[in-house]
Amino acid sequence: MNLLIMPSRATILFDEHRQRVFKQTDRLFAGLLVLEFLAGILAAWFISPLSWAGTTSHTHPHVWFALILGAAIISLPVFLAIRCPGQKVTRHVIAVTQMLESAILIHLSGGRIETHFHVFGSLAFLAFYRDWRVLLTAAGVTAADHVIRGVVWPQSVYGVLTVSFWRSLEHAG
Amino acid sequence: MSVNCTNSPTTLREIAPVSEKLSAVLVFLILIWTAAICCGMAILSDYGATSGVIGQTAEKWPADSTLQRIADEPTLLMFVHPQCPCTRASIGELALLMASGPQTLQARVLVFAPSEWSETQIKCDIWQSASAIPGVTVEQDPDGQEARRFGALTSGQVFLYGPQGELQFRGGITAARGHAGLNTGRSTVIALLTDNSPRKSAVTECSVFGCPLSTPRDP
Repeated sequence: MNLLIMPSRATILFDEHRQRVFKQTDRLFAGLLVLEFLAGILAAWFISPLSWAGTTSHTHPHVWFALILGAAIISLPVFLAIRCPGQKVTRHVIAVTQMLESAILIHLSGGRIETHFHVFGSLAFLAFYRDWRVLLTAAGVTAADHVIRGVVWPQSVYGVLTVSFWRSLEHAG
Repeated sequence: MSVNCTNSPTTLREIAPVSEKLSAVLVFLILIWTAAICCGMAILSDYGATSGVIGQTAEKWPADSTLQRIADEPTLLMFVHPQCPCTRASIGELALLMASGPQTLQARVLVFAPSEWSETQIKCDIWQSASAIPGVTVEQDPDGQEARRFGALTSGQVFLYGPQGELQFRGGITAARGHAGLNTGRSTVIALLTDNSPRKSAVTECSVFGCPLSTPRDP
């Protein structure tokens, strides 16, 4: 056996520790995502329970979005966190999901500026992975959202009818 | 379908790059998930962007209205449904508008008040929020009579009448359904109120977002 290609004990210990961190963080996010899903349903139920037309009402579409879309959003990351903890794909799917949870909560709260802080909180939680690539994935989702909306429907993000491409980059940055 | 990527915890194999281990099933699941989320988000955005109906509006203050217009001053009217969740954003935008407009501006919020509804249903949080805005008078609109006279069909609809009673603006002051934040409706009304240049004859119109003020069977 060629000893030169054998990793040192320090490297083995480091990798084992790193892998343990990845797995623990995946499990933490599995719980957090379920909590966020429930919080989304509660938010929709309290903020906009019913949609009205004169004196008639029916369940507000936001409640259904929180329930159905919310369940769809968390389904894959929770599945991966349980079945494939510690894998690269799991933490990147979780990073994407965290940003999608921010998007849906911002929408359910009516675009309140306070809800936007969920994005920053999510980045702080994703930092638990101690993997900068995960933060890049999360930031990439937000950047893509701003760039696409900036082109297709700028009023939904910036409140104006036209917007410079650079403003989307400024927001994403 | 079986996907399990868990390895024994202490072998070097477990830290091998995942891309080498990804099964076709996993790739398929990710593609299906991505497609489902994109569709869901698109439907959610489309729902938010769907505006309500702006009715036929008289370009002068309706003669049959029981509302009194303040002479030689602009008057802003907003018709709201007391239970419409989207209208909270409209009231929030009205508060910002009142803070940015001239201090002499008088605004009236007309709350849809069906005869069969209790005071609790009508004077809910939207009523309280509107009442708290300086310069805003909140009153009931029994069975939406005034809304019909002014041609308001959607909760959150705003009308701005000039000092001579001429209609200057009709529409909403939010960017989307129940969506707070900068929007062209609010900016337009503020510009109309603060611009001292001669008025254009055309009425400015913006999309309005909210619940319908009348039931589908109502005339």
